[in-house]
Amino acid sequence: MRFDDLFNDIDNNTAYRLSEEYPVLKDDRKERLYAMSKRKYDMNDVFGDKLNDVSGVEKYRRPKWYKSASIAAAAVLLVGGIGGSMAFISRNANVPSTEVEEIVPNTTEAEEVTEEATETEEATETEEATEAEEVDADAIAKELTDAWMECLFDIHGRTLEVDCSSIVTKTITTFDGEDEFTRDFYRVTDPRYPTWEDLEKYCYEICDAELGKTVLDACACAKEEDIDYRTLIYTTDEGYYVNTETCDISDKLYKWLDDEVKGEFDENSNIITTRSHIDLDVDPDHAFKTKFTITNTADGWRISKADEELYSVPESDNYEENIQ
Amino acid sequence: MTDKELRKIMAESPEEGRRALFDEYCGYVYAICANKLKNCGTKEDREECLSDTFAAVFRYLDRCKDVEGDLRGIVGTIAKRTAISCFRRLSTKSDTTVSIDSDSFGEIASDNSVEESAERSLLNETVLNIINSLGEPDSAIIVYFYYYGMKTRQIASILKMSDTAVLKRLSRSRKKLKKLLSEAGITEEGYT
Repeated sequence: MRFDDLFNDIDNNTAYRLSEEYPVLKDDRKERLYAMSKRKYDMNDVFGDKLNDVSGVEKYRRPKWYKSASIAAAAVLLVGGIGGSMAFISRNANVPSTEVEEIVPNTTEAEEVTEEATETEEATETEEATEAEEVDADAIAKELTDAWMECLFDIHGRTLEVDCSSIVTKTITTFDGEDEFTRDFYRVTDPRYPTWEDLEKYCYEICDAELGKTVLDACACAKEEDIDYRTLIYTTDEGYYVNTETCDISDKLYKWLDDEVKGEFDENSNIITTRSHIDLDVDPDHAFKTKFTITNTADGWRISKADEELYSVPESDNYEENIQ
Repeated sequence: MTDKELRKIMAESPEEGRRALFDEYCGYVYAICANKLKNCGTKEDREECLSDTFAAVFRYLDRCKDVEGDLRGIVGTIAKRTAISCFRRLSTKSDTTVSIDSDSFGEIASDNSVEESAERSLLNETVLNIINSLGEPDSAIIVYFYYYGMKTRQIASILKMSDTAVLKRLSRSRKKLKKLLSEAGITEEGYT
């Protein structure tokens, strides 16, 4: 019997216990369901068995954002298509000139030019190699990954300095839109980041533009007017606020397990390093391993990729089905 | 509310009786429908299934006013049959062919064996007791995820937690649960 099968085919007693110990239906939903049941019963009462069970079907209302999201997706495809085509055209456009250079030789002058060019190329390569050797990959890897960990905890509001005496309560609608609950927020008074923009700026000092955007997009921060059930940090013109629970349950520890950091260059002159940590707040039983790619951008060394994975997840821990 | 009280209300006022019966058993019927349809139905399908069940229960009780049986049993049986029928209807949309060589072939439920049914009930009870021992909110996360088939996003909303926290707690409590089940003699190879 597979692990998942333990929860299938429940008997009446288990169903009754679930309904008593873990109820999921709220009063307003019960009302709606009773009205639905009664309508079906009444219709059958009038028409007897001649009526098939087609009542109670509710008209599907497509969410309003769906249209704009579709347009945005179509626009991305269009822009991607155009961009891809342009890149393809421009890449191919270089090919003929390269071929010409290779065909030209056969004169003494051309040979001299080629020799000079080769010498210059070799010199450049040597300079680059020396430069790469001079770069302390270990130090860069350590500095950036340490900062990454600190920044990530700050961005998720777990290590920000707050004013615990200043609490704001917001009413929030639940995921299914059927209920409301309140969530408390502290005002952030962290001198390192007086505004949320300062924190964003710090993030871009550690990550390249693409990764920085990804990290910030995933951080449950919203403007005050856009707060929803996912919001843990919200921003206003006067400052920003973080969910009290997020701050209170955090033990404020952000530490890598490995003190010694090894950075190695790959074939693209990026620095690759791997570090591991345990999130004591939410999952003290698992160690997470993160592989970083650090790239030398126009603004300096930045993390361009961070792949986190769990150590030794058993195969049977496959629970993809209802994760969303 | 006891069956006797419910029947008394139904005898005095059928309308109020139906309402009382619904209030008493709607969570129970929902648990049966959600569990049966967790891998193939949407939230709307579960609600359809629940309302079909109650419409059928109301009609049954109109026809068989003198039936003395346990109401919970009657409602549960009708709910299960309605949910199975709903499951079959929804499953025709997806590929449901099961090879005779498949591992899951031997696990198709049999309605005939009383012994198997009793054994299964005992197993269900033990598993739920062990889940309860995990404590809140881990037990609720496991129940919502595995019994009700809810998405982690929905669980996060109900428990007022972040998606990530639910995911991580789910992973941790599943590991704990497996250990506890194993200690109780319930493993993937079988149970003793």
